[in-house]
Amino acid sequence: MSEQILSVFPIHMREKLKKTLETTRVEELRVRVNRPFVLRTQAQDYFWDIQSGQCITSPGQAYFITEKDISDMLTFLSRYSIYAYEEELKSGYLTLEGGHRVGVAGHVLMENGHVGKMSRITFLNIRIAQEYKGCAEQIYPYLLKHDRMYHTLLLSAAGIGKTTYLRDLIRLLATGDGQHAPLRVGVVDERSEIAAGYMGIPQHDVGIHTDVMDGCSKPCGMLMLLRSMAPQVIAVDELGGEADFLAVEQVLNCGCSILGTIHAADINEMMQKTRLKGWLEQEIFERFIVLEYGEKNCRKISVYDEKLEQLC
Amino acid sequence: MLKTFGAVLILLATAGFICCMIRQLREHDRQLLLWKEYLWKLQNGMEGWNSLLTELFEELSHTAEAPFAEFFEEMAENLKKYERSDIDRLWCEIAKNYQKQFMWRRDEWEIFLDSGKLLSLHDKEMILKEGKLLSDRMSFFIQKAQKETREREKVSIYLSLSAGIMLILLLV
Repeated sequence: MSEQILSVFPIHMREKLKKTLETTRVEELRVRVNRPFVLRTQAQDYFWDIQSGQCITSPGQAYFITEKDISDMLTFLSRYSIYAYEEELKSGYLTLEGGHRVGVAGHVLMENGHVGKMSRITFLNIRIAQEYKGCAEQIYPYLLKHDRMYHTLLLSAAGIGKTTYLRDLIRLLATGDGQHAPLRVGVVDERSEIAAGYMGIPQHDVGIHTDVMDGCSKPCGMLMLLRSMAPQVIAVDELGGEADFLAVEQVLNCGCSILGTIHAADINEMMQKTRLKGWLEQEIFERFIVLEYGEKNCRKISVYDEKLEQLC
Repeated sequence: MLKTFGAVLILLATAGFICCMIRQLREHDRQLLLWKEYLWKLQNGMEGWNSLLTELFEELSHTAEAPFAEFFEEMAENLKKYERSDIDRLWCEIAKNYQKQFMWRRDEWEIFLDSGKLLSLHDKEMILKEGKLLSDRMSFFIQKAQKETREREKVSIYLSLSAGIMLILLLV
């Protein structure tokens, strides 16, 4: 992992940064022009001393990122091919080999109210990919009925790990276990967050029988998968817009199961969502998984059936 | 007897000289044509197919003819190290290692070195425009070279034959 991250940094930073990454569990690397280089861990943010390669808490000795550093980093992280990432840059991110995401910010040229180009990128946020295989094992059996999956919605507030759990559920569904046969899963990965596709190849383990539509909008992706890949399950992240729900209706009409996520802290908040009301009344979704923080900041998972009765 | 032998030797030397000249001229033209083709492939790969430069150079190193194949292979190897961000200067430095294998004149060699600038462009529109400019320059040189080759071939054949015949007459 660290080689993939190190190769995007300028040469003069690599050796010392390698030692830092080996000894510190870093979640994000923040690069801002003319500002200190920041390493973000679960505990706190640190600055970085290039002389010693150590994380420090005061910006006094910190290494300040230069314009040339950012220019070199863009060259390396795009593999000398920034032209190939035009569309991703408009979305504000790139995906590296290994599934690490690099968010970009800087000067944007707008065209007719849309992002035309990122003309000068001066801020980078390298988020180191973490896979948590097995996190959804306890809820996986609740989603299956004979040879199919219940239509399932996964709810949580932002930052709790919806996408991580979704990814693991996809992996489990597509791989199966001794008691459950694997299912054909189609994934619409609009922002390359689920499978973290690099040049179309998933960098995360999303299971054996999974097909991924990477970088495609959810409505188009769902319909394309339905037409061409014969999925038994279609998985999407962050259902929200009108077009998303219209596409979900088509999936439901085609006999395919849907596994989706929505932003909602709990069942009550979900029931306020206008677009879902009709479906909730018709009990179309058969399973609801609620992710939230419980005691001592640990994640708590609850599973509900179509009548909103808690199963676990 | 000796004079006949000498005359035959002179004729053989003349023929050898003519063949050598023609081969060099044709190799010069072949290399120019090949470079135009590879330039198009590079530009098309970048602008049309969104291919990564490392992959493009690797592919070219397998499919290109000598002396380009080795050059592309060295470019691919250097790029994969991710140590140099100044790809246009890297191109020029590596190209100089292969200069002797190319039978190009100075202005033709300059186009080859200038082609490195194509690789440092970020915008597809600029890649298209720059690629077209380079291609047009190449086309001009190729036409000029082909015309000159035809004329030089004729001239070198006539001169060599004339010199050979004169030497034979002197001997005889």
